[in-house]
Amino acid sequence: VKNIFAVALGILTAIGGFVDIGDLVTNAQVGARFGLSLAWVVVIGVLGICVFAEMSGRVAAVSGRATFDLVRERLGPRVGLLNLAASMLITFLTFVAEIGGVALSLQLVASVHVLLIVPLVGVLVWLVLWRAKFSLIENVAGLLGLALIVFAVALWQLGPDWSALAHQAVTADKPEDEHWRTMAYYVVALFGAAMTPYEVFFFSSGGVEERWTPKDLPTMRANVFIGFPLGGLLSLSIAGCAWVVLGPLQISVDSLGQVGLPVAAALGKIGLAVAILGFVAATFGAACETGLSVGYSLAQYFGAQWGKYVRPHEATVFHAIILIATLAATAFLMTAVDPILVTEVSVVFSAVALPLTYFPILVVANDPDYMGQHVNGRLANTLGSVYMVLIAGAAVAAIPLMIWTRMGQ
Amino acid sequence: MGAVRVKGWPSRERWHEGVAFAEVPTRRPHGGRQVTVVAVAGLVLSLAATACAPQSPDRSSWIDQAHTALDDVSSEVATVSLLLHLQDEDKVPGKYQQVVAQDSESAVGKTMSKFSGEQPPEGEDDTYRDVTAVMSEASDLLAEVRIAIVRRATGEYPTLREQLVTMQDQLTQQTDELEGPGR
Repeated sequence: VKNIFAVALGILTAIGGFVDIGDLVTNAQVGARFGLSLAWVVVIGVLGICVFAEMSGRVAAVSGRATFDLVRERLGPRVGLLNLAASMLITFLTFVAEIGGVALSLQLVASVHVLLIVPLVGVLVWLVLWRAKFSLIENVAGLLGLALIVFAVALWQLGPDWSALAHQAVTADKPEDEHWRTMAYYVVALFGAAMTPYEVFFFSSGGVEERWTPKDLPTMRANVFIGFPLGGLLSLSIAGCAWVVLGPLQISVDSLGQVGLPVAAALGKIGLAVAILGFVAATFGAACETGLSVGYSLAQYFGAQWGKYVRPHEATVFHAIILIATLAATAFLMTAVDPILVTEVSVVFSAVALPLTYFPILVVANDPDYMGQHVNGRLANTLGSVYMVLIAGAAVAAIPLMIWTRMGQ
Repeated sequence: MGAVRVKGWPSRERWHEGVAFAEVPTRRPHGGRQVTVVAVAGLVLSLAATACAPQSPDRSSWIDQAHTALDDVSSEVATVSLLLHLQDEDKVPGKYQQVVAQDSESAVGKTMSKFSGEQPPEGEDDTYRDVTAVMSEASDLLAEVRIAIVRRATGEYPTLREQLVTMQDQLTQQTDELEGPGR
């Protein structure tokens, strides 16, 4: 019974923790403009994150060491540093976006200026990362994030033409008033949002925090292969709701308030309250995950003691990094930069950094000296290689498309 | 499948021996640094020279920008219109309405400010005036809606909703004119 509970809890937190501010904004933007025409990108992105999360989780369970630790050791300091620099930049940008996302979510309830909320969120995130247990952070945020299921309920309640939605999803039909280049830009943005690098680093380091062993591999795989795809369904629900309510009115999404309007249309005030709870939980959980990922990555690269499973005074470098990152992210937001813009930029740059993030994981998961009998099999390597090609394509196309389309306009 | 090995990557054993952090001094040609300095100086100078000048896009690009600006403003007007519609059905709490209305108003302000900063091409002054005028009217209307929402002046909502619909028609008409013959 204990095992079943652990698996169920893991799956539920994986579903609730899958969506972050990047997914919320990008899926609503894409849904309002393209409906479910780009659903295939979400499917490909979710499968990709499953492939690499499974690899990094397996590495953690078998070696008892986290990804960055092994990347530096296996590939050397230079490649490790390149890997660190690329993923750190994106993870920090995502951290900024998530803190901004929490502030925007709370603003929907408090109706005060977002700059008044940002410092409070910064302090709260830091306090949680400093004091709360790892399992508490992961489980509470993940379970509350399940509130976003309200988007699936809202879509059902809105009663769309399901056959038309299915047709859109299957044929990847482009709306007549949209350009191919804009569609290509959103393909890259959605792919970047689904495969955000921090998810893998957090997953792998979390495995070490929770002291996974090879015995935990089935549970880990259940979390990844059931939890993540169900989380992907939430992303598609957000897009579907946006298409049904905002699409016909030609509304393009540029604020979090607009993302919640379809739920209000379908389910009224109670539905909207649940959606806001989901926004707060999803962004707060992701802020904690990205904040921890910043600490994990740097501490692991420089060989410092790290993790929530050791006492703070034994991991001073790790906690100092988290404190500095939280201060820097809060200061960045206090410049009055638009958190939604930061989110849009972070998902595109995420696509740029993907090869540097995922290639080393593929290399380490292929090393029999580390992995023994749990080294990558034929399927994992085939999928990993196919995804490396896709990731390289997205990385090359991201910046030119961003400039050419003026960020999808 | 065997391990992926790349020639030149250090082995793990070397790491354990503690030599991994030993940096090999790299040589950089002196000329390379000069090129970098010149490139950075050039970039700074060109940025300084262009910073104060308004953007001067060509005609086609300017029309595209006018089109995008009108679409953006229309989207915000539609958002607020939907908001009032949902308010009629008592589906959105007051504070949420305030935030969405304020976001839409400030988004229109940003769009106007960005478009107004663009230098219109010769012969497009009338279009510039028409586009900025209709955007300005939309901005004023969204401010009125926001004021009514903050005051919870629900009696004004039906009139405001009608005005929002009319405003959307004006924005659509202006967009159509941009796409008209001769463009």
